[in-house]
Amino acid sequence: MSRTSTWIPASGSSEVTAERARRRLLWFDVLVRLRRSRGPAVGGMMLTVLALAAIAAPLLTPYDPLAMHPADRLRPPGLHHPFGTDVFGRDLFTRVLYGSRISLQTGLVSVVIAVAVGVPIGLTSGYYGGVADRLLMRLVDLMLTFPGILLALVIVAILGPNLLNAMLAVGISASPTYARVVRASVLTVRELAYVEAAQALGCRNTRIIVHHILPNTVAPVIVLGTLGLAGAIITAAALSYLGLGAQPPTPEWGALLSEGRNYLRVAWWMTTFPGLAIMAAVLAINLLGDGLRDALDPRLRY
Amino acid sequence: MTERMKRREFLRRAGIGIGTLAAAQALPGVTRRIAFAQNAGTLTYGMNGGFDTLDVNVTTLPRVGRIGLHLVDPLVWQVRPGQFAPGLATSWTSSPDAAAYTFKLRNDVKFHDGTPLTAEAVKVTFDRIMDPDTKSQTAYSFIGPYDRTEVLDPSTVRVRFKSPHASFLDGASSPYLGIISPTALKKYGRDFGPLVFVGTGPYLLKSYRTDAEVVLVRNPNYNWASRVFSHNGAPYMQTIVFKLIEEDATRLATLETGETLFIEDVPTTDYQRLKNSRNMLLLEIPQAGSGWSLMMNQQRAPTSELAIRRAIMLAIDKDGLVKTVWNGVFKPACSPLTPNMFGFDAETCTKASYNLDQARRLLEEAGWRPGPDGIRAKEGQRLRLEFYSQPVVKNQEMAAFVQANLKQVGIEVNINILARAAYLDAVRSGRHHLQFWWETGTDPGEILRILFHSRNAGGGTNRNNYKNAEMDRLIDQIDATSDPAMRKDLVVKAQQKAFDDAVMVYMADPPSLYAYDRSVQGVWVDWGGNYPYFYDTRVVK
Amino acid sequence: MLPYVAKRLLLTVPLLLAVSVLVFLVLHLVPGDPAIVFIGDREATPERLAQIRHVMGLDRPLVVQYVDYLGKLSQGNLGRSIHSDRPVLGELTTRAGSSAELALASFLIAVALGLGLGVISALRRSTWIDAAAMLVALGGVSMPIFWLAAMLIFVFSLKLGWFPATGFGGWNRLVLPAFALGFVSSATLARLVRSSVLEVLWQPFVTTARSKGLREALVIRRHVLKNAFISVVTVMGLQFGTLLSGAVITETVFARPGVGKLLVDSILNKDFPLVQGAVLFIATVYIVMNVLVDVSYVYLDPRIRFE
Repeated sequence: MSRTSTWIPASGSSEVTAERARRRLLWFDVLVRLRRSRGPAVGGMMLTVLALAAIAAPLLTPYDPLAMHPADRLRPPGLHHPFGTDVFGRDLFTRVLYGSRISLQTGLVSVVIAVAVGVPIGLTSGYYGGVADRLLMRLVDLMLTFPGILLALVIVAILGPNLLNAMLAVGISASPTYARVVRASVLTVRELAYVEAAQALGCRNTRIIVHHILPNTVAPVIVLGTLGLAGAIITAAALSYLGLGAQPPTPEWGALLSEGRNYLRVAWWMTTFPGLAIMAAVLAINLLGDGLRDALDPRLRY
Repeated sequence: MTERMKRREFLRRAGIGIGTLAAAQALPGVTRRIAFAQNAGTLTYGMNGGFDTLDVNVTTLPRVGRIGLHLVDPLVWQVRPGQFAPGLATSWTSSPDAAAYTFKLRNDVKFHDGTPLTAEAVKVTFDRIMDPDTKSQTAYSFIGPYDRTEVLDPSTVRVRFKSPHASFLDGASSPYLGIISPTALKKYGRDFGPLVFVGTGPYLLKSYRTDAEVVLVRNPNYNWASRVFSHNGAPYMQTIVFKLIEEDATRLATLETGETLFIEDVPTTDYQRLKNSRNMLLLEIPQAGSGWSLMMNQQRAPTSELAIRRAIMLAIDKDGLVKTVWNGVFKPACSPLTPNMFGFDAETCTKASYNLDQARRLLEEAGWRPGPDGIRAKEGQRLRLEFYSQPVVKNQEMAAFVQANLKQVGIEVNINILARAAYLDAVRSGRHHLQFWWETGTDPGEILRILFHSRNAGGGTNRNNYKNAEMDRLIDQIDATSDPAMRKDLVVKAQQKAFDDAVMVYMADPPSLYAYDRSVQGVWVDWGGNYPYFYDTRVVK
Repeated sequence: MLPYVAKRLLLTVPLLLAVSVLVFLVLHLVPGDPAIVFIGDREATPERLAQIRHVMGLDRPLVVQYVDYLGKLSQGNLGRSIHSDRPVLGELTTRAGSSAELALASFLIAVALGLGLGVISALRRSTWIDAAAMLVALGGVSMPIFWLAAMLIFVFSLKLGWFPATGFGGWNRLVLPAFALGFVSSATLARLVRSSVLEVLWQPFVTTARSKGLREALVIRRHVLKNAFISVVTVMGLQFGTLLSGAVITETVFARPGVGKLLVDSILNKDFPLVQGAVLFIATVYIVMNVLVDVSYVYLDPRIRFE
């Protein structure tokens, strides 16, 4: 096609510019609305605190998350150990803090993988239609037949249990939803006049997809991604709980829960604090995600 | 108005909810046992895991042996190490070379299907164990170098072996060589085992689901109890239900709520609490066999080096391990055999002690120098060991502890937790450097053979992959010798050699820990602590 | 409509066939040898291993094994588990009963809680009731279920002694696991109901109904709820499938047998016939639920019709 992306025939130019302008206004509007409403603001703040804590972990605690001090084992929360110690005398607050790095990382990587796998499938399926669409959607349906955790378990069983494979497993098992959503988005945009115009002009399909269709799918993917982050953290924790995710002595939150499950009676803090940490992180992400979804939904603009 | 009413309503309901929770906390932790009381004639047993099959002649799991002991009768019962009492056999003799055993059987025994016990049944049972189609496991290894069984007359049978098998009586006293009904076997064919099981035991198999529970009911015709037990005739308990409860905390909880009356594998964290409990009794029996040990793969560098293995032996703090992971309930181990085994050599215990400096020195002398991060390396090769285990919480705890210990002397341990199929695939093909082992058994020759014989290396149970002709000879001789004094001498020699060759690290000797409600009386457990038996058991309210 | 349903159900056969081929291929990617899994940690010389593999039929080429399986399947024989040698059908039915019980109970709890919370918070939008209800819902979604399950056992079984902690059979064993599962599922539903109801509330026809002077409750019941139900039905249809086979962790903590657990265990044991049986069962349930959901649309939204 052309060398510059702004060369368009007169008949379509006003539509495209209008579209672009509308989009920019939308984002501004979203930000304003997000800041105004309370839920996402709280969520955003919590998440920022968590992220900062994760990054600054070594500065916030003098203990080594891996060093064992059997003499201090199973201490209840107190002055020296705000969250208590575990069965090997390791400071739990430190482990939860370092665990936040791992859990947040795991969540992010899983979502990135899910997007990287699901979005192209959805785009291809929705745009090209026909046989490709039917085949891909059958595959997606097949994957959706099984609950996420089962799919993740099978993938980890095939690849071998370690944190990286757990991220891969969670990502792949979440991708069908992205494919579906993106496909639906594509279908609504595909019929628009300016896309037809671009096609008639002989623009390469990939260019059309990237420049015109993809931007319209961004909003639902962001919402899905934010909420998916929460789900990814929980699924990864579940895998570690079953022993098939992060390996010892990694202080991933799910692994911490698993370590504490036999000590419920003698050391309630071993399960309570990692559990609360998971809840806090997931809650924050969900609040933010909900806010985003409300902000991005044009129908709720009253 | 509606708005305010709704709020008041909400607050009232919330208040009730919070009030209930608060009241609940204020109540003492008294459990409503009445709510879950079972029929007086039922004993519910909390199992720590599932099983592969109920067919005792086929299974690999001691747990199935526990259930199976109620469905079959063994030929003999082992009351003390090496001392046997009549079971289905009233008397027996063995040839001087221990290659042939002759048993005289009782003539008043009937199978659950009504057919009488004859010598033919013994032959059918043992031949079946040898048949590859049966895929027999533990029974197959207990039966040893089996040749054939000869039926001399309806109540006399002679079992012949290809080579001397001194531990045969020990195996014959286990549930795995219990006698099954030939008639039922012929009638049910392939379904015998998976769906149906017919023996001579005090209980009949009523139903089972492999991942939930097994239900046994009383055999009213049972009248041939061994003199080991305090009564004869049908057992007291009408029903025994073996329930699968894998979560340790849940299993213990069910004992406290009354959902189960007897549980196995009590978590050691609750040991003290149970000891002090008024309603529950703790049964602690030193387990016979081999305690928890760390196997080191000699077919893979760098654990193929003697110096490395010796250093590892010195670097592991067994007292710390026992205190931290096992709450002090287990005892530090120093031999491949547990202290109550025949031929246990206490002297090796004085030799293996925790010495970090010596470990470091050994590694230095072997050419392993510490790198910038503390981990040693030699000729560019990092001292990193692959450790494999299944996802069992206690194994993971021990692994983490060992990892930390070895880090102190500059050895890096990478922990791989794999699900069963992948784990077995990895360790049987020798991809591991380190793995745990633990073995139940009552015969020292048997244990040593499982752990150290070259025949079991290369994918078998000898995951040390230790192949030593002299050790093989010692072990073969143990099984061939009937003279107790000579046997003991050989067993001691084998332990000393294993120590000198730095084959395994011995970590902790476990007791078998059971807990039960104090209303349960008359529980018999074999001397090895492996098989609780409820024939004489009553529940007294 | 009947020909539509019939056509959909007929299409399931080739779909299930595709599923079974996929399962067959994927299972061979899982590391491990069923014969070795069967032997476990016991002694076995290479000859004995070969013997066992032969008895299990594992030494035949893959295609032969699969075709043999298909042949038996066409006669209604699901085969026998490699591991326990018990008929697959029997293994499935016992687990299915327990899973179905749990799924149904959790489903009811989830729907009751979800609808309740969702409707209340939508009707009282932007008040503190809305915030509280949504916080509870968010709590449900954010809580790891194994933690909730352990807490429930600790409080209600150990401390209070109100319900048994484990097992299957009888409604009192169902309460704790169903609540744990139901609560977590209800959270997603609550939020969805809230946004569906909100969406509908602002539509012109509702304003019309209100301006006509209809009582609030009638307006809600007749118009709003019915429309909100469509998205609810879609989600709950899918949720039921998850409740049936995805309750692995709940089933583990509460020591209940289940289809999900069966699937996971049989995959890890590489027990091919059992995996196939479980997968076919789960897939069938999912497909049937899908059809039911589509059919129910007809009654809920008169605008939807089938060609």
